[in-house]
Amino acid sequence: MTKYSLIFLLFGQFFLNGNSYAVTQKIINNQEKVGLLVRQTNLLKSAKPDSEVITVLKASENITIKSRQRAWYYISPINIPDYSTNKISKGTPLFGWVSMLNVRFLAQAKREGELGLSAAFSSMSKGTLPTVSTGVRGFDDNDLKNSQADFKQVERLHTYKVSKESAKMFAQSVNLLKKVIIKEQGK
Amino acid sequence: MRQFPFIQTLFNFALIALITFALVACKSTSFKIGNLDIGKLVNQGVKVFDANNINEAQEIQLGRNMSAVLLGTRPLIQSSQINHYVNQVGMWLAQNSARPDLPWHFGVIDSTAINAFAAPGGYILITSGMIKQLDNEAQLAAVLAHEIIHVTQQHHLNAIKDGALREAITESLFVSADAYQGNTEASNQDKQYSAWAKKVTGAAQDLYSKGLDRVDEFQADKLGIILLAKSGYDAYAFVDNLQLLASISADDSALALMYKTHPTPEQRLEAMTAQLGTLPSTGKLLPERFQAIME
Repeated sequence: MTKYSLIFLLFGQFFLNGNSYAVTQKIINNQEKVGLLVRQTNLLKSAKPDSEVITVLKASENITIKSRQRAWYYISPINIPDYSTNKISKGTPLFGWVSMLNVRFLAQAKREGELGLSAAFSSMSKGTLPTVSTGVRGFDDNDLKNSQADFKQVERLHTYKVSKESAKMFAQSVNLLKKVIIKEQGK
Repeated sequence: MRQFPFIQTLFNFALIALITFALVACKSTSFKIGNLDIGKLVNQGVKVFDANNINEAQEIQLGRNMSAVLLGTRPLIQSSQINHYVNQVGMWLAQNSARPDLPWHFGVIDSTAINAFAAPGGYILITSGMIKQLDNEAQLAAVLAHEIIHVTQQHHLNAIKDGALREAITESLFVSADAYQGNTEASNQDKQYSAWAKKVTGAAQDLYSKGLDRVDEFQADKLGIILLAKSGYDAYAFVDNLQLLASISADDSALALMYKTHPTPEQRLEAMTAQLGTLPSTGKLLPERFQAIME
């Protein structure tokens, strides 16, 4: 992301949400992704279900995903709306939050090299997910069927074992030790 | 002897008594075939004689053999640093799981396939192709958490009990008893162990090709996301991973085996919709530590 687009996002977020700092931090830390709404979705002013609705985006709308906060993506529709409402004026770029479950990525960033951005955008216009053919194989059930048990590799695997104490120190070093309470479903 | 049912019954009793005596006689042995502790197996064999009661030592032995099958397809990656890091993340998660005392082992298979595997007794393998897709430690932990739940819930063992491996498990007890009674020479013992291991290999190949029950996969998601949150990671990284998988075409060869053995990412995302509201809003992604190791 360029310095200018970051400034642009900062201002956009400031006017829409009034909480620019936290979001900007997330934007810096995350890579932008291109996505698609799989159902009609409320574009919200903040990342919570009872937030004010900016507008309703239609299913199959193409979006840019800027960041994530819990179960919410901060997004912008790629096509600037050619309509106006009482909240947005015609042609204004939109930014807001949508439920992450309503979104599917169109081109997973790490596979763009194999896929090509043009293919990603061409399939976006068709509203379908892109198809890739990597040409490099991993392993499949045929490889499994022909596999010879390799116990030397298992012995090598054993050499990487870490102790409970080491794992605890590893977690402690980034403060993962905080006790987390999980609510039971439906309560 | 058909004409003398009493004699037949007496003969059967005598045979059972003889087998029981032979097994009891083995109880104190520390006899080993390969890495299989026959003494331990026979010890259990006196009490249990079927696949419904596999003890932890047997579970670990099975997992070792099944992991060898997976590692027979592709070896571990060379990087000790990455293998060690994955063990640190995995062991931390395992300490927050229902079975912290298993001898957990984690490793990275050198393959472009996007997948991860579990084997009984605490063996977890993830492909380098999967790791390449991830951006942070929480996403790595999410993959491992799903696999850890397969182990803690004994999903593979349960599949084994109902499948072809059942025969191999039962046979292992016969092999050990026979090996002891015959006081056979090492080469013969090795042959018997090899025969058992071959059956385990065949059943493991079958199990990993067909995959677990879909219900088990959904349970691994449901409990895996809780394990992730309990361990202090951003639980929504689990959803990130499913979004990521959903974005890769189903006919991508890298995902072929995963699609064959798992519900689709769409189905998995839908299944966890209700659960998302129950998750804590705290939790760490740790992209910096992840990227520093992967560079």
